Amino acid sequence: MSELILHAAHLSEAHQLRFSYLFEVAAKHWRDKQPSQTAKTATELWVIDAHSAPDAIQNRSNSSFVLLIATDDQAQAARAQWPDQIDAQLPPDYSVGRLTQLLEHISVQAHGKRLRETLKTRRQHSMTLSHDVQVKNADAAFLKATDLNQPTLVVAEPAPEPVLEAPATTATAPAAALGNLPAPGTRFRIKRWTQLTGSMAGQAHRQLLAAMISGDRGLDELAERTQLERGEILRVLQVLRGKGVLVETAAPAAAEPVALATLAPPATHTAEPGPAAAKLGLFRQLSRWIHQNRASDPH
Amino acid sequence: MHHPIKRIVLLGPMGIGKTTAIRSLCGSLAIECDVPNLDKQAHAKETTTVGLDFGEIKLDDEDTLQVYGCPGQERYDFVREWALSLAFGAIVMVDIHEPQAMEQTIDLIQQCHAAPNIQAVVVLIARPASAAQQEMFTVRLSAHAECAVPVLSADPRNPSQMLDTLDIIAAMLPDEVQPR
Repeated sequence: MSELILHAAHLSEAHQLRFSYLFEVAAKHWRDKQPSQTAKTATELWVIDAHSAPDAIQNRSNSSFVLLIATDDQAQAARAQWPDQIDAQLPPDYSVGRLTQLLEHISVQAHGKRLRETLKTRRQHSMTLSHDVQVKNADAAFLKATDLNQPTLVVAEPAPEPVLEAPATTATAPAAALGNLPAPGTRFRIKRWTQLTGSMAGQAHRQLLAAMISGDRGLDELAERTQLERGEILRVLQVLRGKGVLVETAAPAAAEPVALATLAPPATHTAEPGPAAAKLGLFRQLSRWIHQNRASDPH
Repeated sequence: MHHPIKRIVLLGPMGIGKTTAIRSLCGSLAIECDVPNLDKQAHAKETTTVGLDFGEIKLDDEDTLQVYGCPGQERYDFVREWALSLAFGAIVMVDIHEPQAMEQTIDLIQQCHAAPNIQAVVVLIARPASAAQQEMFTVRLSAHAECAVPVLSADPRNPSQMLDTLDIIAAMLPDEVQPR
């Protein structure tokens, strides 16, 4: 079993109550699932928000993990300011299920940091390591704010999917790690619906998710269906990749990645039916009707 | 030239707002099949749908989208099955605060996917819920087979929000779908 040393006093008051409550539930849930084994070195977890990030990142030890509670926009800004310093992010309205998954993810990462070679060997032999979390040193401020007499979330929350929050790409995906541009022809799909936050909570972004949950879509198609700029689509794809819900399928023969600056706006010829397709498809018919009615809707 | 009729159906428990949603989408082109509700134990509303609520949206000069609202009671299962067999899209409406919400939603989604022509299914949270509640419901729902579908939130009384919902269905469609 590995122990978790929690540093959460840096969180602003707005985030404290939720975190303290959900963390206790998540840690209990996690503990109950795991068998007890020989103690391992403790893992340090720093929980921060956008406001407290500068101090916390400066003070934390090199081997500790940093969890940022912030909107996608804030997280992107923080990652730009402190590259490779933020190990995980949760939106401000995160659920206990996501927190539990994240603890598991961090636990796996901790083992990976310490036992990289051993883990690699065990994985090759299809063996798994057991992980556990024990709260060794939760900050007093959070224990005070914790109310474990509220039972609802424990019952309501599903068993977490072990790899849901881990950045994942499929075996067929091109090189598309965070920050990289997808190869031309790459098609995108999401494994499950997810609620985006901040500036990504709008209708166009939901359209983007809807297009990707219903099938594999290329960048051109996504741009056409949502009227989002390609830069914005790429930004959303990066967030989805971070959430572990994006599936990327490479084109048969991938060429050089296309530089963002050279990406053309949505090709108009793909948005207009050709002579042979004078009859509009249902997607276009519905979209046009919705657009017309929205324009005349007084709400 | 033959233009196949395009249909979507609204599903969900009694009193969730299917009739209201059709009225929001179709305005004067809506026909209601409500009668006095004799099952006040199941729901306190005064009237309930016994046939299919029906509305039309004129997409253009030639094509019309038909919107059906299925009765929510279990005893009208056969109506739902028939309506689903004709539709290309479905909106599953839910009040996530109800104890049976998850189970009912999973059942309805799986019924939708069993229908021969359904190409787009969305879940519509039709009662106010916090972002955390919506996210929790979404994560739990997506853990079930065939339930990786959009989970949206809208007030059935609000035409603009219902248009947004329809917009999401549109975004899921292949461009040249030809429903039968």
